Amino acid sequence: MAHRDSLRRRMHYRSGWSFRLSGVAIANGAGMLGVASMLFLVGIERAGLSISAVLGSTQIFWTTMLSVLVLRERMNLAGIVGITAMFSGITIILLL
Amino acid sequence: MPIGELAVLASTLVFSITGIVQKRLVARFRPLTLGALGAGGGALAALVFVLTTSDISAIPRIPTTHVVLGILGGIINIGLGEPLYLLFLRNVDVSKAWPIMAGLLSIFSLLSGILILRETPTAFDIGGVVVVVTGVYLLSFGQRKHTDKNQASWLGFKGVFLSIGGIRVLGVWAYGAGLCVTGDGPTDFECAEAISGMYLPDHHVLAGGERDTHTEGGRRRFGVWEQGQEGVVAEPGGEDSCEVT
Repeated sequence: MAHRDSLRRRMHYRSGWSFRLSGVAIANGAGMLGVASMLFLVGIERAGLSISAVLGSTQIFWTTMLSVLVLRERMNLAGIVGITAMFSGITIILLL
Repeated sequence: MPIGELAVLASTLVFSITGIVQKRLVARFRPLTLGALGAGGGALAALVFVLTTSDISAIPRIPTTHVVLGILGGIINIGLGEPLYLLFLRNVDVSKAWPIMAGLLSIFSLLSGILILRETPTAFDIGGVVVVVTGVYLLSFGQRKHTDKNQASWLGFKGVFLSIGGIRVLGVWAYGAGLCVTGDGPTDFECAEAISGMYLPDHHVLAGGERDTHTEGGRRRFGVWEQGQEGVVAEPGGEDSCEVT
């Protein structure tokens, strides 16, 4: 029985592998490590490091907002306060 | 809004969207596999960028030390740090995992500046760190009661300090500290970039232009200096001078 479960899990991994999903993963990596980094580099070149770093830290808000909207993740008051505190702290470190 | 600010905002949006997609994908792939596929995609995009925008003849002139340290930093950060973050992401909501990582990296960037670049932390820096740590606490330990058992077990020291902080920072330090401490870093600006977690090799060769650092009130500031743009240029050979190779 245990052997059959193990085999089923292995088959699930194999059947779960798809070229389409692998393509999505590669494109996602290209977007994250390639496109986003290049855009950030352009921002540093044009706007300067200090402003770019502060604007870049707004990513925390974007990600949280998207995760709540798209992935239906839940966020309670302590979490919202935590994210706001983190953004404020990063801004203080970068600007003052 | 100027194009620079727009570019940064666009980059944060792309980062966020890809972070959400990553959360979806991590349920279908093993962390190491997903990390490898993502790194492959990133490398392809960087290669296209280099081949289309840079002076290719300058690439062989990149010092060997930079290449070796870049590879070392990449192996540790992308090879070890990223899969461990993905392991963390697999078990925790992205709305918690991403901010915790971002908050911790900002703290370690500041520590790197103090330890490697000999910056003097101001009262605002220390205050900022306290506020960030409070935020990390609220998002990690503070959320344990409000999540399921599996997620709660990851929202402790295990997830926060081992999976995210330690390994990634080692990778950043291996590259950034190596360049800065050995004096091989072409500019302090690049050291700061490396320490801040950007790994694109030799930006000044790829993007062109000169970068200089200057000191304000005993504290080092980093910026881009271009012709026609106001800026303070460090004295050649002085403490804050930089060499453009």
